[in-house]
Amino acid sequence: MIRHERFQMMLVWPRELSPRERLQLERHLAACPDCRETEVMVAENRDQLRALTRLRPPQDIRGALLEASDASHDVVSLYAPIAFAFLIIPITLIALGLMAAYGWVAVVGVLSLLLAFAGATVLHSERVGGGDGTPTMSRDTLPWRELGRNIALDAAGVAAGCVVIALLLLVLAVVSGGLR
Amino acid sequence: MADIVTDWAASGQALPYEDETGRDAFAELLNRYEHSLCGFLIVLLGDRDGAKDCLQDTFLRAYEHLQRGKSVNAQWLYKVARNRAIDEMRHKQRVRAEPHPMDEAAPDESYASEGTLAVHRTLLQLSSDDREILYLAEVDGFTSLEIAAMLGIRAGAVRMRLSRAHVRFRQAHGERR
Repeated sequence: MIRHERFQMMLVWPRELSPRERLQLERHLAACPDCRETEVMVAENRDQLRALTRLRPPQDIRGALLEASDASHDVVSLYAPIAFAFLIIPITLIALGLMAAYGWVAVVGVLSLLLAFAGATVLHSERVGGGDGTPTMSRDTLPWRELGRNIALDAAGVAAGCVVIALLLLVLAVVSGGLR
Repeated sequence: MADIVTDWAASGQALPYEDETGRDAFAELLNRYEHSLCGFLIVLLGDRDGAKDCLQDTFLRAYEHLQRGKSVNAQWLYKVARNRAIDEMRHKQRVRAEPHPMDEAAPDESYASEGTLAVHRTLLQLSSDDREILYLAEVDGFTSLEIAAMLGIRAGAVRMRLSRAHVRFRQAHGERR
């Protein structure tokens, strides 16, 4: 039985057989009516399954995909964490400066800046369009999850920058205090 | 289509990242895989609308991947599509108390002929494991090693699974007659 199973496995993967295995299979088939029957079955199954190459995708799918990729591209290019990352250090320094002068108002200011940037992205998205003036995306097609994730990443980046710089200042204060 | 998929997958090459946004590569990706991947998802899910959603998500993930300067190949695409389809199936199971009678689904424009519909209905009587292995090996023409990489199992298990799926397909086909 195990012997038959081995040959039946060979029958379903004919392209992957070595010349030696092919020879073994041919010899076995010549002597085994059960495996010859399996060979016929696999060939018939294959003919039927090949009909599935003619499965047609929904007609509107290509247009929808291209439209969605345009929307995705515009949002990602307008608001990508990587594109915004280089601003984290200056924003953090500005936030620290503002915090020294105005306290927690600075934190609210930075968050407002992020929200304003996101809002501008959403508003601008309505105006991005093709040559005929038709919008390539609308608010309905915006990938909100992606946008939210990017805003969260940027906020986390600003917070991390604040923490690192605050720690550095603390270390400097301790060291300079110790030197005195 | 099956030949293109097989040749490209066998070459181990990734899609070229041709322009700043990956749009050229994305269009090429659609040209090569739209039909075969859609067929795979329809067979796996037995639901044209669900397949459409999964196809859209898969291609959008591919697009984002290309935009980040990464490459996309056939195995990556099928793996993502399969994972998305599994999520969809789990969601359906949660929403629906009883199994959906997908095998009696009404014919629509996805089916070029009555024969295609009959084969699809036979496949839907099998488990999703059997359906996916039959489609990947016999319709798309992937090798056992490529399928093993997609499914995260050993090539030996893939070979065994296909052999058994053929037997069950024949049994299901006999019962439908």
